[in-house]
Amino acid sequence: MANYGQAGQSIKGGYHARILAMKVFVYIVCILLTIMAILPFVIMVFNASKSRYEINNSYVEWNREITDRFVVSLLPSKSFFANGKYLLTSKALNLPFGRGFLNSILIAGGATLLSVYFSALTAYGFAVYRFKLNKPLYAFIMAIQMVPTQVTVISFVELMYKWHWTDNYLPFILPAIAAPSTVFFLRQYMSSALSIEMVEAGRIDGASEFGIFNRLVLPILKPGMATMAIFAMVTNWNNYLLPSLLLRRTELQTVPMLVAKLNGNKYSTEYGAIYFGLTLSAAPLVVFYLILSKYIIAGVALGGVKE
Amino acid sequence: MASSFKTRAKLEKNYCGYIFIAPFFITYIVFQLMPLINTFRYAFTDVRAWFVDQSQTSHFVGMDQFKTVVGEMGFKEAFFNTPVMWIMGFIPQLLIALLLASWFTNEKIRVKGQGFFKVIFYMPNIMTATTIGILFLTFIRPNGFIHNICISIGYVKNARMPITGTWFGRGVIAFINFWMWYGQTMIVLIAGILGINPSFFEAASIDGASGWQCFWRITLPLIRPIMTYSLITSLIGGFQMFDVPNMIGAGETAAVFKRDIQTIIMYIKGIAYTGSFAVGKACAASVILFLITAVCSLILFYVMSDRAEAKARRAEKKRAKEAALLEGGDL
Repeated sequence: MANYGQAGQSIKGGYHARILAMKVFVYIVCILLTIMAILPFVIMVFNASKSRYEINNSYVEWNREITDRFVVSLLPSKSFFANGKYLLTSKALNLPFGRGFLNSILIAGGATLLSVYFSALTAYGFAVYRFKLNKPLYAFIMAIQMVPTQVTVISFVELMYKWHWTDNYLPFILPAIAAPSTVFFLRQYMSSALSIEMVEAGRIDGASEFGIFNRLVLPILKPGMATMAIFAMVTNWNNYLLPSLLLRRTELQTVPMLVAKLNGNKYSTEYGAIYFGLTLSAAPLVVFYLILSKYIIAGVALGGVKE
Repeated sequence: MASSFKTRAKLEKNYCGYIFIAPFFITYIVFQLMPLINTFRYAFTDVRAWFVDQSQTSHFVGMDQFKTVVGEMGFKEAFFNTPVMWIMGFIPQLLIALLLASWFTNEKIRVKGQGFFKVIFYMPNIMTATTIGILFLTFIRPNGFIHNICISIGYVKNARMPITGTWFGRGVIAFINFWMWYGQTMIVLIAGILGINPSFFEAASIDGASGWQCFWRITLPLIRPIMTYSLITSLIGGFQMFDVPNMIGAGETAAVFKRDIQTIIMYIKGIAYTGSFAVGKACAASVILFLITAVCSLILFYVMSDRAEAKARRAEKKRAKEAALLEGGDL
């Protein structure tokens, strides 16, 4: 009996050691992945503070004494504001980032407002009214989520040219009214958050159907709509292909378009300024993300996001 | 009873539903369905970009555009590169996500700081793809971070020369896709695993199943629908890959591996808006992209759907058929 107890204990001890080893391994992997996720952004910010000379000679630095080279090539330097000044004021570069941010806010903000409001409206229509085509039309919305959107890019651009809607923000804002995955998410959300009795109570009180939606239902849907608004904002902010085909005038261009111009022209040897521009475009998103990360992670987990 | 039902129906005003859903459908028809139909229509004509030739009359050319496009080198390259780069990124993406999800939901390991790790791993996903593309481009060109490492390990001999190699460019794109998306897949899979009824795991541990057995026999089969969803959405997105390879393949690196990382959308945009502005040809390529995406999604859906269940359904069908045959024979 005594022997049995001992053996049991030693097995238990081995078991704990295994769990501990596993834990150590898991944390090492997680820390390595954390470094992998952050390192590119750290290098970006640090390089934004280096002069052209320092970046162009980074290899020389790298190859000196082992202790020096790594530290010197990674540490930030002093040219952060000089790079910023060059990027924002250089006539040769002609990158009006201030205007670009305003443009991106207009487009992403407009598209987000429309997509969230009209998706809620559509989802409410499907959730509350038992009209004849309810089921087939909802199935249609589910199906079109699977259509690859870029397939229609060329003929969409052709249509906008024919309508003379180039150098105009409507082609990026108006189509946001039809956002199938947002409708799907809000429809799911309503089935748990909205009770039909409340709608009926509103009717008995004599409110109009539209009034019920705006005054009774919208406030209840706010948390779900906020989640969708965050993702709509990010998606529309990051949109590049379509604006790059339809916005020709520099003063109308969005941040991703200006960022794209950092690359591939004869001024692209100003590496410090390029890194500064990248930092400038990334910073607002990082701040936005860190403030709202709780809701964003929860939103991703709900599976309402599809890109 | 009947009268109360009638008043209820009257009170509900079900016709209002159509008014509520109308804006969605009008917008969808104008901005998405019409362009989709036009894509199919243009694919059979020799129409050119509207802004270069506004007085053109386009002609119906049958399958000609499809034949030309399929014969082009750029088409073959794009339709090879895109799925290859997607698969190269997606396999590590799914494996790492699955590994992390199984660790983060493991009650014995109890990883602390999960919230922090989730936030960090997901962060690259919300960043602007053009920014990410140019950032990695500056890393791989001379004096960039990755270029310096390549010199240190002897992969590149000359400090002024760009890194070459067919698979290097593809590897960079695949890595960026992996890096941007594994966090998203991980969070979705964690949600899936947490949604599994805990009594399954309790029952298994009472029966003496090991953690490994639990993972293979309970977790994996039960999160298969979510994995299928991840796989199919990733495939659809992967075939439309554009922003990152477009940035990496532009500028001074263009000559080095532009052809190795040219994706389908880059190719389509190229034929529509450069050279001969052949919108008809670009639409033919778009139609092919549409069909390939649809076929691949259906195949994946079929392969990934529950085989045991499908088998049971087929057996059921077979039995029904045999029974019907027997009956027919009797008659």
